[in-house]
Amino acid sequence: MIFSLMFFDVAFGFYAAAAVSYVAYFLFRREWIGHSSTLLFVLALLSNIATLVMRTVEIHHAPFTNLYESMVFFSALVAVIYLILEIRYKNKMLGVFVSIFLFLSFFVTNLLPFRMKVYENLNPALQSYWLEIHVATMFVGYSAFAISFIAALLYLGKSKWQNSFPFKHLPDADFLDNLGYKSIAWGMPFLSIGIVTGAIWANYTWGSYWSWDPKETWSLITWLIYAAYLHARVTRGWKKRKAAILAIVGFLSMVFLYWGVAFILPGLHSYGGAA
Amino acid sequence: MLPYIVKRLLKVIDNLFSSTKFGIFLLLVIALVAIVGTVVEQGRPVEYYYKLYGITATGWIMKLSINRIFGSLWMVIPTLLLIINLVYSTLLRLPAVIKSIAVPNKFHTFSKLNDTISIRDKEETAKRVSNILKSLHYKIYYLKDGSLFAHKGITSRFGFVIVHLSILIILFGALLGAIYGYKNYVVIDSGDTKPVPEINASIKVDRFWMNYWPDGSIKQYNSKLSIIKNGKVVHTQIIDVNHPMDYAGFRFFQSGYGKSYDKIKEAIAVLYDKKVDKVVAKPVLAQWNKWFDIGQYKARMVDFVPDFYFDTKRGYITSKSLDYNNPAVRLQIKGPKGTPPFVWEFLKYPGSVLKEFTNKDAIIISSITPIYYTGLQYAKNPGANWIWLGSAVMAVGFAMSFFMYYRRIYIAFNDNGNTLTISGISYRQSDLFAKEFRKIINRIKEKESV
Ligand code: HEM
Repeated sequence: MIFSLMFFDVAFGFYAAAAVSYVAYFLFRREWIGHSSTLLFVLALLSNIATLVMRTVEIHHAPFTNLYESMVFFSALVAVIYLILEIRYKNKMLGVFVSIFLFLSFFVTNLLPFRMKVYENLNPALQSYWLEIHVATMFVGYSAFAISFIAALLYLGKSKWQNSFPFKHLPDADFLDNLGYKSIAWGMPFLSIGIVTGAIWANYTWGSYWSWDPKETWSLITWLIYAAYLHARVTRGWKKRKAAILAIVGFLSMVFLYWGVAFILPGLHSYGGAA
Repeated sequence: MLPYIVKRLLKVIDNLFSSTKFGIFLLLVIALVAIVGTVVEQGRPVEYYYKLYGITATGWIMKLSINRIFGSLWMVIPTLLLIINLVYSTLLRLPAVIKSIAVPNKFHTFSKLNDTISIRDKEETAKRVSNILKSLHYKIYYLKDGSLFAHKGITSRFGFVIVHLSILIILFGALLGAIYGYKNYVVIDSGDTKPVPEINASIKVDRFWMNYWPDGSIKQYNSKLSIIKNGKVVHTQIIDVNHPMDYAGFRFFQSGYGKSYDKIKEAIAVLYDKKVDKVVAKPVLAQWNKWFDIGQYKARMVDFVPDFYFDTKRGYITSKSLDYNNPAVRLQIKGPKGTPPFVWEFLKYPGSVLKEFTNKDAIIISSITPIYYTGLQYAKNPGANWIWLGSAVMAVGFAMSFFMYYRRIYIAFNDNGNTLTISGISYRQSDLFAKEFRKIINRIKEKESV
């Protein structure tokens, strides 16, 4: 456990440093600050990945069987997606928001009580390769939604105050809107596969593919909101603003699906000692 | 002729069910009903709601079926409306979609993406352009006005039809499951056989056991099952929590276990002499229901209760609970004159009963080894395969909608033959298409510059 916990702290530190550096880049727009921001971000991602690798070595199976591990996994995915975007669009401005987002996600993960950070033996129902497929696809979906959330927030800001600070430095509104749509177009299939593999697993383990337990129900709610988002975008006469609001609502629903259900609503999925 | 009012009504219905806005509204309504279903716990006894919400609110919860919201009209009505909306608007949309991918009959320019390129030779360029587009897998047409038309990604325009179809398939599967799905539960002691009428056979649990992690927590529950038909074993399989058994259309799941509450496997029997305060015979490993000799007695264990309770009013013996709080074994005994034929032997009060009769001897039962029972859930759901089919269809539909896109390109050669005008448009993914459009233009220009 020691090594993964240690790398966690290192990654946490680098994300904090990257967030500060991106903000400095945003304010002063010096090229060297931009380069060091990316460097710090890459270092943060590497130690984030090292946390996962060490955890896998320590526990001998995929590192996302409790809330703590899954947050580390989720953060790594968001960071990878962001880096791809940064390289592809050669724009570092989103880095400010992504690094702050990741810093916050490490921050809340770090608040978890220690007993939830260490590994517990898997209970019998969790020992299945469906677990790995199910959880991994869910988290790819979650991380795409996280990006769409950031894009939607910035879209709303940009379309309202395009020429004032800080929005004037951001990519234009169409780009943000498009980024939001694309993230959801990736997130939606992964969320759907996640829900279906979960159903297959439940069918195999409990004998029914759907039992309306809170986690299942919230995954459906989230899915429905994103389906509404997709339709809001193809409906003529609806401003993109409404779609952006649905993207934000969808993300909040996803956060509830991820954290809220574990702590507030009881059920089969109470995860990693919560609830 | 329809009366005016009916016409108006039909118009309103038509407007409603053809509209995507109504579809969005329904999706959000279903989401809202589901939220209520997670906030108010489902399927609890009345007292639970009463304690939590008070009497008035509980009355409403019951009256409005909020305690069983997922099967109620709250869910069924919006879902039905959604199906009608989905089918109607998809079908209405189809002609427009088909029209939008039709080959046009003349050249057209779009304001967003267009360019004019100088060329050297009209024939040669036309050939080259069509080769470039072909290499990008465009379908190419020569229009009557002498211009060129190409498009790509037609299937993506039908992605939404496939996605919507998949939703119908999934809902159909859910309906089948709701009507024909069946679930039952049976408890069988390890070593016992019980008939399971649904499969027209009996199930014998040859063995139930657990595996443990090094720290002692439970790793897995396992049962070895045999299916017995007409006295013959026709199938044997070991199941655990993630590996059920399929037989005769049913799936059997390891879903519970516990210590048997009406028998034990074995125990140690000892003969104790009160007078000399000593154990007087060799301890015996007594098997359930098997006679054993101990001193001058013959005995066997014939009954067991885990939590002994004598119901004085009705005069019979039962168990207060299924837990081993006050376990007792009934012994059948043969011995010298004066020996009672049956005694209850309490594990917590060794030898107390028999002593009273013989004033001297007591058979003490200790170290019992329990028998475990396994709880098998068995279920049949003819809808499940439809759900999996629908999910696969949905994946295809999503791939068509999100990872492909439709685009059209128009190219006209101008009258004097030394320029061409190219223009394009895409349905979705305008940024990707803008890039592709630039690339095509650059490839055309490559050979034209002097
Ligand atoms: C139940 C969940 C539903 C899902 C998952 C779903 C999925 C989709 C998808 C993936 C698209 C393509 C979106 C895009 O082009 O970006 C789409 C388009 C569309 N959907 Fe749905 N849909 C659902 C329900 C409905 C309902 C209830 C209606 C009823 C109005 C509807 C009407 C439409 C229409 C009109 C389009 C536009 C097609 C186009 O021109 O591209 N959908 N849907």
